[in-house]
Amino acid sequence: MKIKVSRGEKIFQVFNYCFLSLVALICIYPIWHVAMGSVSSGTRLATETGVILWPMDFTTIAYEKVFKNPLILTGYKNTIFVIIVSLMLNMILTILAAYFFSRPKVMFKKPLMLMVLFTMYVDGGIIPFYLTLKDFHLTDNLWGLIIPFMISTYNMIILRTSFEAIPASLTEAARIDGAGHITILLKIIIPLSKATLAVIALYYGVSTWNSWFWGSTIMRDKAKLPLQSVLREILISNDTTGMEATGADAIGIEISIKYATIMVATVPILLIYPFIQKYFTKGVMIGAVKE
Amino acid sequence: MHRKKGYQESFSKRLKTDLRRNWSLYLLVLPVLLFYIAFKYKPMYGALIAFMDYTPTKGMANSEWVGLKHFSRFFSSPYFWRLLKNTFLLSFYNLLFGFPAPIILALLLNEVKNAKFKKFTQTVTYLPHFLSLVVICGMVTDFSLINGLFNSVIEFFGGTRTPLLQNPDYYRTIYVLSGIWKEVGWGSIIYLAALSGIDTQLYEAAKIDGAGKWKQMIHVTLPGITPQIVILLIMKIGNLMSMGYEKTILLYNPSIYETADIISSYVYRSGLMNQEWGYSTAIGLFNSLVNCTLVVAANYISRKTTENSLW
Amino acid sequence: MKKRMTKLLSLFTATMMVTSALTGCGSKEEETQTAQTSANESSASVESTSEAASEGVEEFSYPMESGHTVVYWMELNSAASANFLSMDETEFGKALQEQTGIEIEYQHPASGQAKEQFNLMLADGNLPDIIEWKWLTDYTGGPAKAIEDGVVIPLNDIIEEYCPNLKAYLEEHPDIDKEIKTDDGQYYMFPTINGTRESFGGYIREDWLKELNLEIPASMDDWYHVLTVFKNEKGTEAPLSIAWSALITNSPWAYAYGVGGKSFVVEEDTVVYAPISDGYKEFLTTLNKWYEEGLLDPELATIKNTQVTAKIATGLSGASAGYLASAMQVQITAGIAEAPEFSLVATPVPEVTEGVAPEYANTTRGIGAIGAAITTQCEDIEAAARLLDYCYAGDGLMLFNYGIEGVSYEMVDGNPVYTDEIFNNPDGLEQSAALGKYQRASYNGPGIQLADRYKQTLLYENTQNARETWQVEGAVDHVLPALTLTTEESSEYATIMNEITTYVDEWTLKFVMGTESLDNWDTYVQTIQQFGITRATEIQQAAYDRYLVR
Repeated sequence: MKIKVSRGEKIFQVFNYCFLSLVALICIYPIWHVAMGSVSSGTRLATETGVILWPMDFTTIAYEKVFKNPLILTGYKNTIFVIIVSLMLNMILTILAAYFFSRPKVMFKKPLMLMVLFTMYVDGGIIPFYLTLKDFHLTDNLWGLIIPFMISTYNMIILRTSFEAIPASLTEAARIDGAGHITILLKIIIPLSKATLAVIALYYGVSTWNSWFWGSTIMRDKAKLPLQSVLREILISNDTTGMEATGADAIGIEISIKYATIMVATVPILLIYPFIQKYFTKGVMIGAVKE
Repeated sequence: MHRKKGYQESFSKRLKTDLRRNWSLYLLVLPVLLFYIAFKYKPMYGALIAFMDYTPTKGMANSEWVGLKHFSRFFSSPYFWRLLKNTFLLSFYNLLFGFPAPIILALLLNEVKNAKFKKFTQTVTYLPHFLSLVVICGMVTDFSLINGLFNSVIEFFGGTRTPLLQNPDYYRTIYVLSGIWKEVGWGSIIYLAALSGIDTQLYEAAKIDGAGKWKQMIHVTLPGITPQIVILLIMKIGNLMSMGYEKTILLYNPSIYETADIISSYVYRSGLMNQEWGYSTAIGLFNSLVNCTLVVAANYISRKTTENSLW
Repeated sequence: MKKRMTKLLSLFTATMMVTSALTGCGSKEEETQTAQTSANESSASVESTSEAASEGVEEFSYPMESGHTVVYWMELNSAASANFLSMDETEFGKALQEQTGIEIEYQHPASGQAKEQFNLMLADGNLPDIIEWKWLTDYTGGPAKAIEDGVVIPLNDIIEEYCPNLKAYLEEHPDIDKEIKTDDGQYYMFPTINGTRESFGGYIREDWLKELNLEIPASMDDWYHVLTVFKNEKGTEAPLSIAWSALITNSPWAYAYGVGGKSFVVEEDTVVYAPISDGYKEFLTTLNKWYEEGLLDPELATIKNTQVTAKIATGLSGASAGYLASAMQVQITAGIAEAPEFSLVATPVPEVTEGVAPEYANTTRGIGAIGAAITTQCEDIEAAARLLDYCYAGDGLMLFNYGIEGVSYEMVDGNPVYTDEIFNNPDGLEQSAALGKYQRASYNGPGIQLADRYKQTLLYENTQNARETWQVEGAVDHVLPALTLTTEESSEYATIMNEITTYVDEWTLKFVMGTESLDNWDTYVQTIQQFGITRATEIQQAAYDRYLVR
């Protein structure tokens, strides 16, 4: 049966496409600005403000400065290691936690949930956290960037919401068939939550990729710095505006380096995202069980 | 903690039933609990710094207890109310406009038929999220200059050019809109995921019942993502007071302090952040307390009106 | 404390005894070592031993015998960090170790994370031997507290015994001597001694002045006239463009009225809070007039330094004030790229009343904020002290300022001159990076920065001469020196001042931009008094009085 497309719907579609195109344009502009700026000369960047549409006095000097830094290679290596290991631990622990908190009729669920939520509001601060890491021998060590950050309560709650949305009839049916908690988790809950799991994985991955603070704080050995910490070092060391930048220094170069570091940090993510996107487009048939 | 049922079960009996049924669950969650104890609760004692005159060299054991001294110092600042108001209002407007924006974007994207366009737009909208705040704010300040882009647009629509960031009345708009610009795309991802999880059969059923696009949205789509919306809303309310100083510092100047200055930027200016641990921790605790209260209230309301709640 | 003094004395006596048994610099290594590790020996009073020292009995000279290592914690300045991961890798670092004979294990915090890492280091309890830090501003409670807390040691005896270079300098410069002592008279750091004290000042389009037949403005009236002509003849909408905080705090116009620094100034041994003085009112009245007549940049409040550079370079503005190298010189370079006849010339602090010379100027007390201190966990104190003393005279001073002879500088007619290694570095390093490779004086460090060195690195005649133009005789007497407040004082002071500064900043802009009429001046002053300025001034005065008697 063919359903006629109404006139109202046509207008809506046109409006939608126009509006979304505008949004896309507005959202693309900043990264375009950064990309163009990263290959522009510092002098032009320092003396002109406003919209950048094309490279001004094309030069690759910013990228040269970034890539010639020996720490870039170790930075990438470290970050990749941390992301892979982190992601595995993130997902496992978050799934376990979200599963636990999504099950009905568990006696200690509420107090434990409150205990977990409380940690979102009270924080000991940088020094106690650092000292805790020290106590566990996690300083100056890549594991120090992994283990203390294994669970994000925020992400866990999002996943819990998704687990809770799976109809109880499905889990009941499985329970009657003799399935235990672990089986239910693996055979029912996870397969039906692929989209949200993909989102959580994306959130964790991007967050780990972007983080620099603890890397810069706990590593004594610069070869252990993750990528973003390295980029930050490069950025700051090339910022001579605070000091006596005399004579023949390339002025404004710190601006183009800032842009270049952003490109270096962002492009890998852009390449990965399309692979994750497919999880968001398919609809999920939850028609396995008829009521 | 359990409401009294028709018949009373003794605590130990309930405990036995629970353990028998759920022992594997408790086992599964054990590593999670260990994590929280080790990395969240163990360092939590640091919050007590809010009640002490702490210096890193002395450590907590040797620092003097001063009770509520830091808090009263904070409350008696002549700017306290203004800072509170600005922090609250900026957060509130952020929520009011910035919370629905990603939802609307997700809904609109969901309606796009052309797969390529949809994929492209979706990817592009999250890009600003990856740019550092410094870059975005640099652009915003540049565009707000008299000869900047924003003024060109304003002039195009018949207005006059003015330095936008010197007018306290414009600040909240600039702050909120730039935030939406940066985060709307990234924020829509979770809703897109949720939308893709809605059973397509429900749509079919609705269409057969004669529901048009709009009705489908109200009766199928929105209810389908309501749990996510509610939970995220509650959590965002729980972050209301936690406004970091970075964005404010990058955008403001004294001519607009009256709407722009917030708690964290004020504390930052005093240079106390790195020097007076007790004081800044106390302010952090105060923020947490307000946040907590708001979350409890939001959670309660939500539990009563919708079926979703944080706990 | 006493135990340490005794230990030092015994160390010194032992060393003396050993070296007096030798002729020349031959070292009996083992003897020296055992002497140093000997237990406490009570000895003669401090005076007699130090007298003996200054008679040259020890005959110390660099390099020290091998076997001395110090752990040295410092922030790696961007001049060096752009190309090196550690001071160790720079030619300066290598030469320093070679020339002093002391091995240095450098520790650098991550760039931009210095404060966090410093505090974590304190919390941790594991201290290096030497720490370079801004002890006055970035240690809670100041240097006296740092000593009290057991982080660093007082240096009085150490300077006396091991640091002839610094000691001689301090004797000749009692004002510097005061700066590095706590109120109790304890030395706490080895300072960076500034080569020149003026580095911020006003400047104006020289080519426009010539074109319009104008003189370099020397009074506020001149400025009014010149800016008006710029506006009318050159069509600039922002004849004077400058960021608001630079205008109010550092600019020559602020100093013309005696209110530069936007904070406490010294008037004949009395500490005065400038923003409530009559001078400030006059200053703001003038600025308001300029603003209303379009002589000041209308975007005064939002404009930042990068945008000022843009405006100056492209001719949208004709005058500004800024740092010599990072603003004025940079703007000349950028401007020349746009128009070859572009040129900026430095302007002096203007007179307010014709014929009355200005008394204030943007100048410093002579030392930089960063200084090197020796920690309580340092065992090899003599090595640490000798190392830190090296750059205050002789070979060390040359290394500190010019680098390595024959490589980064040559002696020409008895004067050191930088070579092309600096100006046209064969590896393509920019000037500041090349400098960072060979010396430290271009940024900071324990040593004396020489004025000549800096001059050599300036590109244009106008920048090389700028400093003389900006100097005002006696201005330094008005600058409030670095004071130490007690912990309670500093807490109270910080609270009061944050409130006041917020208020002052807001209202200053309101007065200048005309949002508030200057008729409300009295309300403004009263509010500031209510916030507690009198108390804050008292605190400063008390600290200043303590300073005077150090």
